Amino acid sequence: MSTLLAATAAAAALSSAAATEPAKAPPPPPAAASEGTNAAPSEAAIERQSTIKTSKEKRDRWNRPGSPQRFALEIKLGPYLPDVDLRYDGPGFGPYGTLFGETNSRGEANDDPKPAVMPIIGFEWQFAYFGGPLGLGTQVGFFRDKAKALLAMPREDENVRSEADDVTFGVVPLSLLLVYRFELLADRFKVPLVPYAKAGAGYGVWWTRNGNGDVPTNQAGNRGAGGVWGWQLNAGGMLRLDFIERSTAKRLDQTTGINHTYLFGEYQLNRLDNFGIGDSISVGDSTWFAGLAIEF
Amino acid sequence: MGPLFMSPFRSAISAATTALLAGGLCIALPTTSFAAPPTAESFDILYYTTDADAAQARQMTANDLQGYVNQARCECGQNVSARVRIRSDAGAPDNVQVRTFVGDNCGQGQNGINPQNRPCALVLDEFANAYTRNINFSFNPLWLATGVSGADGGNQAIDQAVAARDCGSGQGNGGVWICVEDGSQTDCQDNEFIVQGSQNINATDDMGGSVPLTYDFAGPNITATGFSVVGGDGAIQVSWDNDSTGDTNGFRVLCAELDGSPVSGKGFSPPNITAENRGTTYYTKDNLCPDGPFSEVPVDDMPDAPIPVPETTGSGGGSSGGDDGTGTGGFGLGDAPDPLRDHSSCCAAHGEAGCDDEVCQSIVCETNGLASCCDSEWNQTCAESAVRDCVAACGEHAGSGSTTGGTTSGSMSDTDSTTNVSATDSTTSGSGTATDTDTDSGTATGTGTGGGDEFADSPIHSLDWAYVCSDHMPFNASQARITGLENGREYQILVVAYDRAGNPSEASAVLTAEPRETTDLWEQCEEQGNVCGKGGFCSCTTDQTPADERLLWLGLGVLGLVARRRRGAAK
Repeated sequence: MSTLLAATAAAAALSSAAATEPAKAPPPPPAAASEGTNAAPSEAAIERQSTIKTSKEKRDRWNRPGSPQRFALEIKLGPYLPDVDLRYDGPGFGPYGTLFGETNSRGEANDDPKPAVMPIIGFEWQFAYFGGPLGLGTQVGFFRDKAKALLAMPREDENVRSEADDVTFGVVPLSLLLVYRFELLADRFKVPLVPYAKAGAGYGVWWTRNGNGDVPTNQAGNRGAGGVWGWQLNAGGMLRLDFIERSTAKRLDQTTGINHTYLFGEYQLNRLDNFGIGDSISVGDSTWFAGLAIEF
Repeated sequence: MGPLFMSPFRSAISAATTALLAGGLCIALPTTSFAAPPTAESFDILYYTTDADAAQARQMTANDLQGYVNQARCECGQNVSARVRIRSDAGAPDNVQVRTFVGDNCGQGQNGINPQNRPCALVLDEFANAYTRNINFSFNPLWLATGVSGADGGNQAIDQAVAARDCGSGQGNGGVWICVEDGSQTDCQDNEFIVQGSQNINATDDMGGSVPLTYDFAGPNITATGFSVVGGDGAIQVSWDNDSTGDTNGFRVLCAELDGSPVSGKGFSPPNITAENRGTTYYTKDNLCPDGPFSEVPVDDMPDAPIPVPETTGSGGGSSGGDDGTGTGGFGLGDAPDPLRDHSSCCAAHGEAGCDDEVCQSIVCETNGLASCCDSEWNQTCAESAVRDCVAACGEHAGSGSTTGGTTSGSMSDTDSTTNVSATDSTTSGSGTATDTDTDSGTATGTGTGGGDEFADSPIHSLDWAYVCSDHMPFNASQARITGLENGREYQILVVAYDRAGNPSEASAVLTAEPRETTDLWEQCEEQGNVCGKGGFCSCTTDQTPADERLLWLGLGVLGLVARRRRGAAK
């Protein structure tokens, strides 16, 4: 109570002083205010302190709306069949087709192998914008095929496949790619399509395993595992999903920093055969992929 | 009671009362002690393993308590050692009579109310003061599972007692029981057992209680069908359908040459008899004590009352037999017949001459030349001979039910439809086993073939560790691959399951398979013109043709030229 009285007295003294000196600065807030709730911050203060950009604010000098966009992440699936028999020009099936091809009732190959579904994950750093982001990306996939091993000396009346032994072949294709996505139409004119292209170097890590689960060694003493260099091209189109519900897309950007989400499909030409130099294995393929991507 | 009893006021009254009773009633009373009689908490009890010389080896761990006492140790007489003493902080005990027994359910056995429970073997009979120092003793594991027979007047002293049954079967928790006499009767009564078997300070469970000393004299009774073997490249693939509902703890695959000899480079050393059993090994009498038992307990072949299989606790052994006579057998051949159920069975050892099946008796005594079986005693050798050769008689024992919930289910009928491992007929393994009489050649695929009678006498049935070709596989395993074998050579294969205590199940039938060379992709590549290159992780410069080399040098030259022009432009 005494504090209140003192504050009241001080306020009265100040008001009388203000009456005599009207040109002075505005009076400080009353002492009582410091004991109650704080005053609401101004709009300018909120704007200054905020880490979230409002949709009205342009994120860069190309006047794209939303938060800064630096990276892209994509996950895709597609059929893959390594072209191991690329260099085989003999009769019938090559070694891969002989082991992993479609078979008849005796276990003998009678059709080409069927592709397996390969999952790929890709990441990209977008370092420049020229009507769309230019980025440096990398991707890694995984392929594995399995078949019953062939008996080395099958009897005349028996299946040529071993019931006990499974053989496998695996590839992990890696690539380093320069990526360009033409996003100008999508950014400026709300056309939800983004064509893109990728090009770069690839490296395929591959291995084989015999019926005992070991990496085999052939008669020349070479192990059935290794890596092979090559190149890769991708071309495809992305459907920017923001148009489905733009307000939700903006909120996603504001709360998580994800600028855009995409559904995409692409064609991939992947030649992993040591650039055709030497007698190297080939583990690349020409195929297509579809998946989901985000930019953030 | 203790503090009150020790108070001066109470002591004075007690002394006065004693004097009055002694003087007035002229009754000779024992010396009155003012100490309390020992309680369960007064005793420290420890268990130890023993070596072949019955010397105390090492203190048992929780693993030992749950897996040390198995059928093989019982048959070999590998003793359990124990140490009992009254704790020093328990105070001076009242010098009453304290008796120490070994067994299971000694309280009821001592009461004699339930004729199915036998009195336990008596280890020590001393005054409490004697327990203030360490008292070490050892006992045959059999005493954990059985009481004394009525023979020899039911003498309970462990060095003179006759066991009421042998190591044939049974599971449960045994241990040291301590009775403190209250003087009301001469013998220990049920309510005088203050320590009841499960007390020890070796290990505690999650609840802080003692881990009981478990005995298990029965192998797992598992359902495993579809046993098959097939040859791979330098290997044999073994598989079976595993429905592990019993106390199976693991599997091992055994292999042998076609002539029955161990495979070179395979096999394991037998487990050390004092090593801790972690549930990854099995024990047999032949492996544990090949030179004969370390110690023996006289067993009454005909106890004066039927002795039930003790109540099963914890992990029970497999599926139970039903009233309809159906059930599942062991891994391949069904359970061994229970000698306690039928004392004249041809398929089990018993004390009488001859057996209940004339045809079988003739086969064993005449055809097999074991005349003593019909003249003096139908012993284990006779039973084994019967099991091996009397399919009609002993086949009926196949698939005998296991023990669950403290009761023994009835014996099973022939296991034509329930025998687990196919691919054989009338294969016999070890002692006391029954045979499967229905199945013919097996499901072995590829190069696997049924074993049949051809391998009935194979030494692989001994389960010797020289034949073990696989590591321990867990209870839910259903396949194994035996590698390091020679292509084009036939091998015998057998699978055995075992429980936590290391009791092996009835082994599977013996199948044979021949490893065969197979071709993988890498070999196929080499075969078809070496189209897959040389492999390796740095193949970018291998095996260039002159044209390739020129191309490479041309590319490098262009790159160098471009770099030089860029440097010039920068200047």
